[in-house]
Amino acid sequence: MDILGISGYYHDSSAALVRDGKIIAAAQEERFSREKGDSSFPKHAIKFCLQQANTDLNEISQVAFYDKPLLTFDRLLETYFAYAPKGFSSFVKSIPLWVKQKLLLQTQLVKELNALKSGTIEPSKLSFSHHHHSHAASAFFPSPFDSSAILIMDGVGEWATTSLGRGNKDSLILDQEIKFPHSIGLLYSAFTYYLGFKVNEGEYKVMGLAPFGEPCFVDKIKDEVIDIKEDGSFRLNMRYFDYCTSLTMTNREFSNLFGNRPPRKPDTPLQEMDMNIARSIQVITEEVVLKLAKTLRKKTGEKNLVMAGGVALNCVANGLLVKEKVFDNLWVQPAAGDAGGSIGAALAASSISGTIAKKDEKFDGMSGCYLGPSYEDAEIKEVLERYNADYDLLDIDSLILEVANLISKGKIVGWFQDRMEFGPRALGNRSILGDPRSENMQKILNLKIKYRESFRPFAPAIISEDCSQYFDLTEDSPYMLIVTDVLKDRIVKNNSINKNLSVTDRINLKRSDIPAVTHVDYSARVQTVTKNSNEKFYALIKEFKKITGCSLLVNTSFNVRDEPIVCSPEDAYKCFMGTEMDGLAIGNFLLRKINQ
Amino acid sequence: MNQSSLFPKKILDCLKPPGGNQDDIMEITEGGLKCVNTGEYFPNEKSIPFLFKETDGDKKYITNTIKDFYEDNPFPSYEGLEEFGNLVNKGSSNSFSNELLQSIGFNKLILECGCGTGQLTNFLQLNNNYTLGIDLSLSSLSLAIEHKTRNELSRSSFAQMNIFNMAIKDEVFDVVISHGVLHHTFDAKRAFSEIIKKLKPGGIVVIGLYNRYARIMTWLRSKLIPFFGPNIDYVIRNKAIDPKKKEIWIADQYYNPHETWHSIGEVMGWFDENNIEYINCSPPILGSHTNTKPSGLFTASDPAGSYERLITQLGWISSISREGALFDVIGRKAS
Repeated sequence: MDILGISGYYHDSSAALVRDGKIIAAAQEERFSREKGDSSFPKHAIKFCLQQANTDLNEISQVAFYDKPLLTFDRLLETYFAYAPKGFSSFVKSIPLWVKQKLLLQTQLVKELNALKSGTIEPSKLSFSHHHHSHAASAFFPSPFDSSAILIMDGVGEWATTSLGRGNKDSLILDQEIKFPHSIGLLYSAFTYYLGFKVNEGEYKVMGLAPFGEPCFVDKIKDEVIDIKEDGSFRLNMRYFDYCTSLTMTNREFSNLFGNRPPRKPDTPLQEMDMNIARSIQVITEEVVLKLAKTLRKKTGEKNLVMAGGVALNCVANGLLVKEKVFDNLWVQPAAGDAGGSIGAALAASSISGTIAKKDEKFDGMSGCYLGPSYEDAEIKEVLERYNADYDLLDIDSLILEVANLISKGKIVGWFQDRMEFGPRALGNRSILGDPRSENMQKILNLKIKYRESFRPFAPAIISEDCSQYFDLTEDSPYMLIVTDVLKDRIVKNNSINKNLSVTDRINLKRSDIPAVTHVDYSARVQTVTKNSNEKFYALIKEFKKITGCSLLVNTSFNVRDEPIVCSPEDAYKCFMGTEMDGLAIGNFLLRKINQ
Repeated sequence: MNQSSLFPKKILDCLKPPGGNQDDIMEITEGGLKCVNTGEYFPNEKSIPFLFKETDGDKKYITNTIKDFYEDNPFPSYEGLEEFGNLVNKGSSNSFSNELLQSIGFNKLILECGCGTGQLTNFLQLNNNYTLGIDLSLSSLSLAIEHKTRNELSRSSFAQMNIFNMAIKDEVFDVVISHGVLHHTFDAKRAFSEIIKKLKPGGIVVIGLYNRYARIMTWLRSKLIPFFGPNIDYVIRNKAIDPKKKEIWIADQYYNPHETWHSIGEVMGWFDENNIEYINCSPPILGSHTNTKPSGLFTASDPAGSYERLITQLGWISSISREGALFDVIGRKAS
């Protein structure tokens, strides 16, 4: 039985195809349309899913959408009336769009689906899942656990912003929730906005900036803005926020908290105060997550925890959950944001129809996130020929050897292999790779490859069995969702604590023997790679280890700032040529920049 | 700074002494360039490659006034764009420069005549292109080289040259660009005929000039600014945040010692005389893009009639006049 899951019309549209309870294809629309966070109807993603599954709409048993538009509409209305007449302008701006897009969603979805000319679908086959139920399904069903506690936190769906519950075999219930406007996700986004980054995209930057600052505003924020109870539940003081009534996140009162300073303008220099604010909101988020998890453990008695929702992408908080051993095991849906909603909606529908696939204790149901399109060598060759590219066609062993050699010499190589990853992370199939031992790798990658702020950190991909030689981490972290400490004997203590140094100077100080992936607070966001999860990538890191003795690589997503991760060979070639990458390994082809 | 990093080999191969021959070979020596064939030595001027030579026909007073002006006002400023990443982001978000890069493609040799501080020259070296920017102003060029050196850009290069006597071999570049420059020379048409000599057959030329109609608004504002202040300018009000940037913009736009104004039809005439095929205009001529497909800057479009062109240019009075009234015409050299 095939179920098509769809997430869209809010941000980060995506589609997923679940066959007999097993996820066989999933992709975000942005990768095809090349528009970051594309929120339009995911037509390319759906087409891909159908193609990958070798089926069409006629064969689809059910189309599951990831939220319930009527409930969201209800929230918009009630919020407006609660604050009326304030917020009239934002209300009139958003309502016509809502009526058109969402209330008439069923008709619209059927129309758009049938316009794909890939078979037809009857309106009766459409179903709508609760937003947080979709997240919960995406977290529990693909997890390797038979039963577990569930924690969902995001900005907002319909009403719920935080949901707690548990899953058992093929059923799940969410029985506790915190409702809009009280939202830890929106609080984080409000600070993201105030710090001059884009909401829904810039949250990572706040997390990356946090280690540079001191948590000196924690008390102030807790006194004024958020009231956190012992059980982790919280209330926000809506005096400081504008998101209920206007199109901005924070207001003047919020700015007053920080010495009357207006929100930072994008692309203006970051001040120490920005870093302190980032650190403070990060600490508060960690406190909420930790307390909620503890409550959940007590309440459910479960040993396992699964999480989803945008806040679950806060890998520093996740790392803390692991470190504090609140639960014995933690599994986070790698596409924890709204993109993962398509998987969740489809799996929720599967569970209702009783077709959830049996779990495997060892493996989760995400297939390493490698759920996107792949390309044959013939297709790749056609693109390379079209661009007159100079390339070598190698067998896979020689390719791995060559690439490992290049990286060991400080070269930066684009690595494009097999199926594209689903979710925000590149996990070794659409990656840019570098030498973690290099002292200026972080700077070069940021400034000449990714064209982004120099403080942005990079993550290591390490062969799983060597992880404990480098990091304070004993479990697998295949999805780069856990931040952990670099082992003490690898650390070079220096003056990076000296706050008088500029961000750039602090980044340029050597912090460990793997400086390119060591954050200023001596932590790292680790991806563990096993032979099973990604054979080629594993072999490549192994080869690099053979040459250098170092068991890891810098792994960053194959894209430049503000662009989606590359999907097709053409995207990869353009990105390779548009940056200072030295090499590109695409399928079995190797391109060297100097030969182009 | 290492002298050899100033010119990549591919660009060095395009150079000759000013007034020299096609088969002249230039080599890099300590503190300058040398012609292997004649032994003539060209020492750097203030660390900048110096290949400037006057010609007999030059109207020196205009060249010198313009040179002095840009020595005092290097344009545009790099404030906030010190890191190459910032420049790339600026270039990618500007629709003209972004489309230009996309249309040029990969692995090309590009000459920019009148590169100023070299922002476009440094940006266009993306996509594995090799670029040479030439200009009169040493202070502008020094900012260009400063950016290139600090960010270790290996494919862009700069030299001081006379646009009427370039130290560049004929027919060596794939693309020749002169964006907002020829109207500051004493003879824009002659300058045009000089720069397209450097274009390979089949190569692309991009010429940006002040528009005869739209520039009227700038002229009007230049008369009003002494009374109402610089805030009547759109860029000052909305775009430039940095005071240094504002100052330089005002000087460049309103206190420039020499400028001429041109029309689309006039440039088309230059194209005809020099065997250049008209391709496109930016902003486009009204009704010239008939197909609905999104087309690139270098996609052939209909040159339209003189009436359509007039209407288009009159329309520019309320659009591009806000920001310098610059329009670009794109052509291809016959192959």
